[in-house]
Amino acid sequence: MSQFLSRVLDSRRTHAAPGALSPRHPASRFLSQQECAELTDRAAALANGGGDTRLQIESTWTGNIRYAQNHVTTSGDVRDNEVSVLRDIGGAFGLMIANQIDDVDLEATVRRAEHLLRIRQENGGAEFAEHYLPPPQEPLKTYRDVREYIQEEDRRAAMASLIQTEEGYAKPHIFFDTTYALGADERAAAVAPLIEAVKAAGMVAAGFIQVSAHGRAVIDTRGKSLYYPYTKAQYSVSVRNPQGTGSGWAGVDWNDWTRIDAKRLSEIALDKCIRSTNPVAIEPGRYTAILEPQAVCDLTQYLMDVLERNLAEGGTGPFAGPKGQSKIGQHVMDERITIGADPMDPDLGFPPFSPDGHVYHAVDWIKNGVLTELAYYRPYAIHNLGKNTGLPNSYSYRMSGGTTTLDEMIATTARGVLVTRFSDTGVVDPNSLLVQGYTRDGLWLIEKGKISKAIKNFRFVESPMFVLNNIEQLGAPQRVFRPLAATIVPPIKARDFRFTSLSEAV
Amino acid sequence: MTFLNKVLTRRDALRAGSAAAAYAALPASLTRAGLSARFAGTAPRRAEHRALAVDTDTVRDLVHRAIDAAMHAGASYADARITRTVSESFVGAGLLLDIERLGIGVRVLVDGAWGFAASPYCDSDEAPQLGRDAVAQARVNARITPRRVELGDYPAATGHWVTPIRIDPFTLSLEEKTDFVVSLAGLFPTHIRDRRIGGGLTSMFFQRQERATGTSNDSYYTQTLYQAGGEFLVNATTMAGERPEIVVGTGLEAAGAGWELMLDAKLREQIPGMVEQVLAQMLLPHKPVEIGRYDVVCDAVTIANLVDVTIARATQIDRSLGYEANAGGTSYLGPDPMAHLGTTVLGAPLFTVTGDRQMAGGLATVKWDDEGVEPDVFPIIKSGRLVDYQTTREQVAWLEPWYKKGGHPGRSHGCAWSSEALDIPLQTAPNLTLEPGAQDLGFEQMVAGIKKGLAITKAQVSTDFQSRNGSGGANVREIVNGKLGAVIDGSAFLFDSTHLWKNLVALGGASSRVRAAASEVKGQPSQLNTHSISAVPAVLKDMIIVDSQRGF
Repeated sequence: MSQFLSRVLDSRRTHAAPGALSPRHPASRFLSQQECAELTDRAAALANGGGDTRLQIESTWTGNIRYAQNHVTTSGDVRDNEVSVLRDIGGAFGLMIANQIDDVDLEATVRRAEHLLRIRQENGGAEFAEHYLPPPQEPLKTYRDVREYIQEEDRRAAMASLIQTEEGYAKPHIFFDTTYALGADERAAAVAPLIEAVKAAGMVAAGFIQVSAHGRAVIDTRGKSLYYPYTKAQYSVSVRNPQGTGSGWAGVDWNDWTRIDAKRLSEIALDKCIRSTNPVAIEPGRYTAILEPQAVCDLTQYLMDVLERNLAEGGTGPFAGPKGQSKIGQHVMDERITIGADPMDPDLGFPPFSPDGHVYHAVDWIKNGVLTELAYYRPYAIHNLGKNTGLPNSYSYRMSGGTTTLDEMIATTARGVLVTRFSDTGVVDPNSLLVQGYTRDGLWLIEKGKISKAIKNFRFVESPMFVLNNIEQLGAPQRVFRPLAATIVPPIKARDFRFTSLSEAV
Repeated sequence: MTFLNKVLTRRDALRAGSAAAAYAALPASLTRAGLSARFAGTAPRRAEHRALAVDTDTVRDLVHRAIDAAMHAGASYADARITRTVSESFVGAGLLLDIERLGIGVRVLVDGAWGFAASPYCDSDEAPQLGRDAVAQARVNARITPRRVELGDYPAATGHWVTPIRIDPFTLSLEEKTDFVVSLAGLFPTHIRDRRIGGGLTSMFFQRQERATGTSNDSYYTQTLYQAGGEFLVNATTMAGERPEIVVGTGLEAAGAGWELMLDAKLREQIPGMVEQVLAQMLLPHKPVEIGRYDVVCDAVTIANLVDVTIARATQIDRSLGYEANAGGTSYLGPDPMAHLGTTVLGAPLFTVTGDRQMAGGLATVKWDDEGVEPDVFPIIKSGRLVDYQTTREQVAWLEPWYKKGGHPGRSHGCAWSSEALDIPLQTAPNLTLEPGAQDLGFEQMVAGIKKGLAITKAQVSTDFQSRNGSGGANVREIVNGKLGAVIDGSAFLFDSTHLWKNLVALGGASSRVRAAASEVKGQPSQLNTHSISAVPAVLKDMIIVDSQRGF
């Protein structure tokens, strides 16, 4: 049944109906490399006024199933295309974003981009006209080459559009047929036993499975041609008791659906629900906190927003140094911590370039506690580093860990708190990266090496920088739930974590 | 082209909460005055020659094909939408995001289970296929957990409705819009005495959504919905760039409005007052926070945000019953709504909150929701007591015992909505109105009545995953003997939603009303929807004030 449905989903779009608006459906559930190239050719053919045309495409298929109150509530099958058309004449540009790929709409999008371009040209006047130069015959290798090639002061706007370097990009295996084949039948079949098990235990489950397939492309008339297909899969589940006095959660995301053990995750959530029932209040304050990997992710993900050169050199964030410098080269956290991302890491998995075509390179932002790198784009590299490739942030990260198990962490804690995850988080102060939020779905007091009782949730105000500088023990890194960008982090036992007030929320 | 490196996808823009999220390094001089003059006669209006105009027979046909195919395949109910959304977002005088989206989505009910299919391909092949796909999914889902869903009977909805705006912003050319921004920038002095002044219209956005909806109980209606908003501010520093202060102008809060929002705000006329205010702010003394409990006078925006976080999500029947437990969370008004209705006292007797998708200029204001229901104006909190929840057709049945008790049949409050056709309809928050006080009180009079307390303005607030406990940060000034005093630095306030409104002492009158903008992320996959909150300033006693950096 499932294969039939998949084939039906794939085969139905092979022709445009007569009298229809000629929408040019993709042959499959998302646009292929060939189809993206053809789309770009069509857009370029529609262009008026010369110059170059670039398309940035994210073509997506999503399938999902949702359940709550121990029954399936909704499911969905959604496709979409995000097509950004960029027209570029002599350094002036115009950009428009649309989701239609038929001839009439595509032409309207190109015209709109050209209108925006004309405004910039007209208004930029001398500023932009002087920046116009034909693209260099060969890639410019040094800062001096660039400077000589473009002979005026303000190179910022012209740089990225004119200087072409074709960077190679990594080719990770991140498209999985197992994910692509998880149709409505398979999703329903996966969910049925999970609901049954929770129901049998007298509890109430709410969960969500989503799989998606994507084609990402950046193609232009200067010869740039990037295309990458990838899949994503996620499962998360919350189990609560009927009285609303206990709640547990578990979840994870991968590119490959078969790496998700939904049964085990649902069991974890059920177990946490039962063990977190009827929590008691304890005094807020600073505690030794054992943060499960999900909690570590929920807190440390904010580091990704401040790992940027312009930000740090501009004085914002924990990596800002004095007088227009960053803290690159300085010791900023525990030496056991290395944070980075490699597109070829088989346990991470993210497209090797950004939606607008910036190639991701393997990087360690923090290495053995030392700040080693901060993200930047090509104009910064040309201005400041004498090279013409950027180092963008994929927002995906792997954090190093250790070998202490969660049980060992608990057994060696005289008094502390065990945290499942954080929720409703937000940055209070961007410079210290102070974050506030709430614990959720399981919080326990540890006394004399044992979990003694379930406790009421806390509000917290704490910085990941503080936590990563107050590490007592580290466990083995593992994949967590962060569909935005793949993340692998260890469990961490940290000193003096600040829980500021009680919350009655369960 | 630096800014291009940070061009976000639509979903990123939505994640930022507003299409007008600010970006760095947009090339500075994107327009010069008189651009529209230069283009006079040739400035193209927005191209309207798209392939698919929503108010046409072609669209009606597609919607009906989708529904017919779904019913033919065995659905007991189906609804379908086609939406075309155009939006323009400006940062300064530059057009940052120009987005246009079209899509078709079909939702079906089969044996008590919902199915949904959607795509951007609006053609006569795709429409019925989506109907069939949605039914195939729902059928499979129903087999594993069968249940009953009652949708009730509602009259067929037909017709066309347009947000009552005066000027469609998309009939203005880009040049005219950017000239408007540029013309305002030139009106700020650059220096006054030893202060550097800057300011202008830092952002604005416009959205128009054309929406065609059909249901299997013979509804077919089209709506054209508008949203607009912006930010106008003045900033000042010393010549050395120290002691920065900002004053934000009024009248540009996002609303269901057109270009007239920019004109009616009378921004030009606000400038002298704003400049005077920002200079005065630079001279105010500052004091560190002293933690404790205080009587506070809150401006209308603060009260609107507090109403939003304590009431808007908490009174959603689906959240209360656990349908969002795996996403945004549940509600302190749960897990059994029947235990709360008519019983739970949330506030003082002068606390009344009403759901209202008919609000003039409301972001959630429509003629019909996504299920062919005309939303009514309904009390949620009446004189401090919980009397109802937000509902859709399916959800009314869940509250049947309550409505029976009240001697009236339950009726959907018309809260079914989706952000666009590619999103499944969910129960989403309507506009909310906090009923003003009977007396003609305003913020200043309330301050005058406080011997010792704090004045809180423009607060940003948030709550936990049950809307139960929350915190906020704001501009805070002390009140001493009825007068505003020093600025209080580093403060935050904590509250418990079940107690906050019981401490309500006074409410502003009708003339002190403000319509604030709010948004909500809900569902899996998630979608962002907007609504408005009409609120007045208020006095709350015993507010817990803490140190924002330390949290207590």
